[in-house]
Amino acid sequence: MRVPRSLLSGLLLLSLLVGFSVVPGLSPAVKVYMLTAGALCGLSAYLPLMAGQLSLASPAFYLIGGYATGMVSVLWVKEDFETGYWKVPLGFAKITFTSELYPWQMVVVELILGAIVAAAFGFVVGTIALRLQGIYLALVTIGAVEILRILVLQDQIGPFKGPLDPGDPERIRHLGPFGGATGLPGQLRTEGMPQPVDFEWQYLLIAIPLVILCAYFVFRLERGRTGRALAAIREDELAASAMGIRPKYYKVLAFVLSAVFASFAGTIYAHAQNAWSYRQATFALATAMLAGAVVGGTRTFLGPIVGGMVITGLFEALRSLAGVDGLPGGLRDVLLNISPFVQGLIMTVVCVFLSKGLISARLVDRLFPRDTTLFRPASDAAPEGGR
Amino acid sequence: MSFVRNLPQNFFDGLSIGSVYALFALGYTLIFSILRIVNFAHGAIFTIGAYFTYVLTGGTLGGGNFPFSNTRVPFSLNFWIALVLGALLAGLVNVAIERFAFRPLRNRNADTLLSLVSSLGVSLMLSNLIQNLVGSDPLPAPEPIPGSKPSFDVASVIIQTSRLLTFAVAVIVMAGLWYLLNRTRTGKALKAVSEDATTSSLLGISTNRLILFTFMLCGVLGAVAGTMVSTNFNITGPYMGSEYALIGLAVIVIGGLGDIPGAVLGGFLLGILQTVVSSISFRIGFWDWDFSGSSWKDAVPFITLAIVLLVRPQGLLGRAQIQKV
Repeated sequence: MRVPRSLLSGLLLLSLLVGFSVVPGLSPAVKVYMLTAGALCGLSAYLPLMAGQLSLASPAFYLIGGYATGMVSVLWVKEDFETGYWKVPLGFAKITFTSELYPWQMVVVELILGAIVAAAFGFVVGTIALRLQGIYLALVTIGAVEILRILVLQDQIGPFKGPLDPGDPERIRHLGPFGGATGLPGQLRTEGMPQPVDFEWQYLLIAIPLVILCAYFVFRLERGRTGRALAAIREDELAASAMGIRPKYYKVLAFVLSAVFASFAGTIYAHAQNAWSYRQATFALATAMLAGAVVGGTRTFLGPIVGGMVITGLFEALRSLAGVDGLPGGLRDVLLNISPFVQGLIMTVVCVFLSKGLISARLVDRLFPRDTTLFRPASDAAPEGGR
Repeated sequence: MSFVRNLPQNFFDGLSIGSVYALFALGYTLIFSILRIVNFAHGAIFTIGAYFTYVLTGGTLGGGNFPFSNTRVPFSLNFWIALVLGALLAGLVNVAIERFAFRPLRNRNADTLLSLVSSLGVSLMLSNLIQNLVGSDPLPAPEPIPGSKPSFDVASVIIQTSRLLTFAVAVIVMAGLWYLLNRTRTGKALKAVSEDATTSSLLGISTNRLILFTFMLCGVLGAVAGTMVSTNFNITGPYMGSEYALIGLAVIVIGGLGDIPGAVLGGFLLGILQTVVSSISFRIGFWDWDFSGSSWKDAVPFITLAIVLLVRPQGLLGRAQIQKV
């Protein structure tokens, strides 16, 4: 059974986008914002795949990004209740931002801090996983997520207890270094995470440039030496190493970059989410990220971006469809709960019928033509039937 | 020392849960040994098996607005008959998974990565289907032997009947599997295919039929594991299998991927380690820290996995893979 590829992928994309844009319930800004986070998640799942490695560790890095946001904005930066200004204690000095909004500069700090911690964790996991391939690697990465989840859930790790629980009148109970089971801000701030914006759409001022930057970065990476090395490792690691490519270096690099993108997604999502806890990193999220990459196509950077958006958009569309008035109760329950089924269906159908994903490498080559001047033969007599 | 005093108890509980891990992980490892892929939908089969048995014993499904809410089958079978029937039904589901999610990919020799993703998709679909058909209410445990004593003491060890039965069932099923693999023609064929699929098909073994049989068998193993877990801890909802799915994966890697005794060893090892660790609690006065192992219990399989992979990447009983050029 061969279905015309372009027809199938075009229809799927179109129906999803139309469906997502007409469903009520969410403001357009929030929709776009969620799509950007989805795109980053897709990129994060894509980078290890470039080297032919299946990683399910992205939720761990996503969790780290969100916790970086929570720890900076709730535990470190303090609001001055008299003036409403924000203070950053640095030990030797104290920076005061004279704005009542949470300063956007600190969001940049969160992005960077989250990226550094996630990159370090990614380096560790990537190095442990170096000797492993395929299914072993996938298992170790699942394990890394689970271990991290359990770690942030703890009430106390060694000497670290975290902030005092404001709900405890005796002031002896601590929340845990990462806020424990309730997460951050938990009971520390009744109004949730500090918001860097007045209006929802202003989130896009951070999110969209970030996604474009990341996309451009991966695009350049893919076209350059690193991308070719990763592709060579994906196709045949042994042959690649015989050609002088260092598989270890590139595999760890892919892992670290994947960690950075996932942590970006976590950081920008945490503010909008208003709270962050261990529940954000689940195996289901790992499958959703992977689904994004696979659905979009794993041969070029645009695939995971589109795929991540499609999967995120789909979930939100189904959820907000359930909020439409006048639906029978049974149908509403089904709509609220059906998104894993739809995701699973898409994953299976794409694997079985459309294994290259929605976006082909050829499409990207057409959209962003390669600079072929370097490879043009010296004489004008190009070989027959050449590109 | 309460730790030492509790050791026999933990050892018994660990054996019981470990036998389930082993049984469940065998389902992964058999498929892996033949097809070199991991069937991520095995966790969903575990759940489906538990639900099938529950329904066949005449249990009423949970409440809510779902198509099968508050319904029950008009008959009620004996638990053991329901267990066998339910396991066979789950085996058929697994065969269907093979037919629709794996075979098309195998036929065109696709990347193993795709079969992983496709089975992940099937797993999501199946668990979610249960949720949308019967809701996610927890359901009470079916009783294997009606009117039996819930527990009895043997020299300060409290033996819960359900745990003892779980252990017994798991050991019997594993013994049957051992017999099947080592003493029958089918078992020999399975081993031959796992050594070299192409050669064995040239020698007249019907590979496709054998693969279907393996999926059937693995479905039965997963479903029996699910049902026995549900007699201990109730059916906790449509996602009860997901935790076991991940632990089972850790088990097969610890034991050595595709290695059958390894999966059994890994299962028992993890079961015992987990119960022992969760009983540890001590106090570090210097940090004012009450360490309690039970909050780290869920991390045990993965920490063990990381250690085993660092020390012995091929698993405890696995053979080192020689890379062929």
